[in-house]
Amino acid sequence: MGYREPLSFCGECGTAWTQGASACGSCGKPRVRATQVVKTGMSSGAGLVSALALYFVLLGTLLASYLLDTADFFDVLDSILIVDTIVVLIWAFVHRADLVGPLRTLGELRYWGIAVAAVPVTVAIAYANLWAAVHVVGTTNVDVLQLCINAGYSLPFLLLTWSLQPAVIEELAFRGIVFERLSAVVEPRAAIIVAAIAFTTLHMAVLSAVFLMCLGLLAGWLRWKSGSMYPSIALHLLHNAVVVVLMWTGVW
Amino acid sequence: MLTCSQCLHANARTLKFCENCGGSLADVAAAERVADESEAEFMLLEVKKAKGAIGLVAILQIVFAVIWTLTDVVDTTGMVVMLGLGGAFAGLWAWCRSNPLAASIVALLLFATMHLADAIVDPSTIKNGIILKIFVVVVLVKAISAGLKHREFVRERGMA
Repeated sequence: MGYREPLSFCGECGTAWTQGASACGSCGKPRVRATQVVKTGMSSGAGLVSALALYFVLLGTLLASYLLDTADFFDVLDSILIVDTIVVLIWAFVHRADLVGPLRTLGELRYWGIAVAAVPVTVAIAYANLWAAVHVVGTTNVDVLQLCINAGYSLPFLLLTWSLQPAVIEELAFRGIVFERLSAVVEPRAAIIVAAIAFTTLHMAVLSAVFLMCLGLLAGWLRWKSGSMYPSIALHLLHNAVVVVLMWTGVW
Repeated sequence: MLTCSQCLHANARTLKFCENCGGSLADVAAAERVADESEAEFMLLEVKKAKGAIGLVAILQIVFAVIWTLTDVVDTTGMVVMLGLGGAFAGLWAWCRSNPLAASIVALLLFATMHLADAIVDPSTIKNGIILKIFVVVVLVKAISAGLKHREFVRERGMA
């Protein structure tokens, strides 16, 4: 619907137009209708496809690593870390219009408070979840983090690769790009749930799904309520850091 | 477009009176809204077609979890994984009633992820039930695309 010359009567109130007047004498409607605002940015369909493509590219890097079983395990782990970081940064650049707002907002203090206060709870849920996986289901637990600790990585390096990188990159991907693109097509609550499930399934660990889902839902809620990326990044960073330190010190 | 019942002039959707003859457009707008609502309802039925495919996946997951556990094809961990996925699809089936678009997106992610993972771990699984796998993916993709169209339609027509 482009620009159209208004005709004899005002479309708002039905009064006849006064000759030469710039607005309706009865209701004040301007005579020349503004042309419709041109939508900027990507369409909701293209945006959703792009967000789903990000998910499948990340999944692809993870699955490809299983095919590289002849290579050194820790080399593969480092490669995934670097490749996934680059992939997410490329997507973040393409979707920068979605991310600028949440990255420029700090969010209210109480959401930061909730994020920090929730860390002991999410760590406890993670512990209970993995305990149940080992003792109830009887899975032979191969914990990749434990393998890294046994391999003799230093604590600062572990914190960088297991806490800082996942917190920033995963939050940018799921609570940034995926959440934003989903909320363009479904309600925020549904977008939180879908983003949390995508976050859970990408970890490819059905037996840790319960705590990943809790973490994903909470991070999504924080992102939605605060309008900022940072509380969810803080939650994710602290959660992972606490787990790394607990495992490092042998408390876990 | 709102076609004036008196002079047949085509007016923009947002107008309350005909710009050509000044007659009220209230009746035309009301009729148009009813037509839009039934069209939106019809479009939503297309999205809800995903429900059948999701329900089928849920049933197959649970049935095979039981059969394979009884015949020792999978261990306890395998059974919990399969039942967990079956439960997840059952949940999505229920979610389809209130939010078919979101449920279809999740179902597609979950379905594609589990079969891609299976294919990588054991390439011989690719051909197992390949027709069913393609069928489920096609139904879900069509449902998502219908859901996006429905959403666009509702937004364009200014319906809640």
